[in-house]
Amino acid sequence: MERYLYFTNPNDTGAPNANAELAMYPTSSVTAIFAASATTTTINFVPRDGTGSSEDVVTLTHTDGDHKNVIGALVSMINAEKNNSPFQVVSDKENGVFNINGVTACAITSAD
Amino acid sequence: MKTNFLYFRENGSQTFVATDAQTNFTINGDANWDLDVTADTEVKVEVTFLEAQTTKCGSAYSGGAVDAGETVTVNNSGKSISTNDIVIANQGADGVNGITISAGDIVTISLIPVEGTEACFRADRLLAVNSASDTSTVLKFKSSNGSTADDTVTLTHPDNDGTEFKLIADYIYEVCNANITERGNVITCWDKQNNVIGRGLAKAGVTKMLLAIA
Repeated sequence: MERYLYFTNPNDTGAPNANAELAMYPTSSVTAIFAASATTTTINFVPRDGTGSSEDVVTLTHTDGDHKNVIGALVSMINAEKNNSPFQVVSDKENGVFNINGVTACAITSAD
Repeated sequence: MKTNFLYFRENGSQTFVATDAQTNFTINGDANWDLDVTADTEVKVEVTFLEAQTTKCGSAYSGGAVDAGETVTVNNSGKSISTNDIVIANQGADGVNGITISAGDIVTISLIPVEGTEACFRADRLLAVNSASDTSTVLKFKSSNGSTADDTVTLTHPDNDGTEFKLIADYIYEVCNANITERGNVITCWDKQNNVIGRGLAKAGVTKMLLAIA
């Protein structure tokens, strides 16, 4: 069964209502996870624009230097080892749900 | 789809205890990072003072005096790079951004995390493990950003007539197929910062790991 990662990042206090404010990707689209700065980790995905020549990126903001814990938690969610649910909420600003310790925000970017 | 994830991390920091009023600290070399730092903006430099003194820091910091045990982060104007050394401007020469180092002060130089310092790859995107020279083996993963080039992990090791290649290949085969997905989490292949080196890589005597993201 395919699993999915869910992110929201509305620009205001309401529900997501614009591009890059909500995204859900199949876990099979994850290509790699990188440290990006002292307080951010990026998840690269196969791009949704279908070109395959770029990447979609979700950037998670977290505690300084906490990349390894964030990566570990992400992989745990990708493999759904805790609840076996195919729908994994990673960072949902709309509802104030952040299922990785230390993560406080996310940003979604896509060439699409 | 469940798959194993392989984690690689460069050494994150180097710590020096100043032996005198030195300004230069060597950060590049075989005994230092796996990668060579080429710009002072790639690192964060902190100084922890041994003793309280009245004239140690430029006006951009505390205004001069410091307490024993106080840590100050050197700003971008107060540091530079000279070949393999990070150079901390002396407060006497730069009254704004400089810091005067004394014997016993602790200087901590940390890599600022970027893609090339810490990465996690999917095992099912591994393309190949190949020898690149008699002392280096390359792990190639499908590009993570759509580039036509691959993402690579280059491992440096001794030359014992190819013994290392097989040890590394065996290890990568093992970690890619390890039945760890039920437990989730990542397989740490190389975390020099925390002295965690995968068994097969340690056995092969791997001394360096370099990440290159396409």
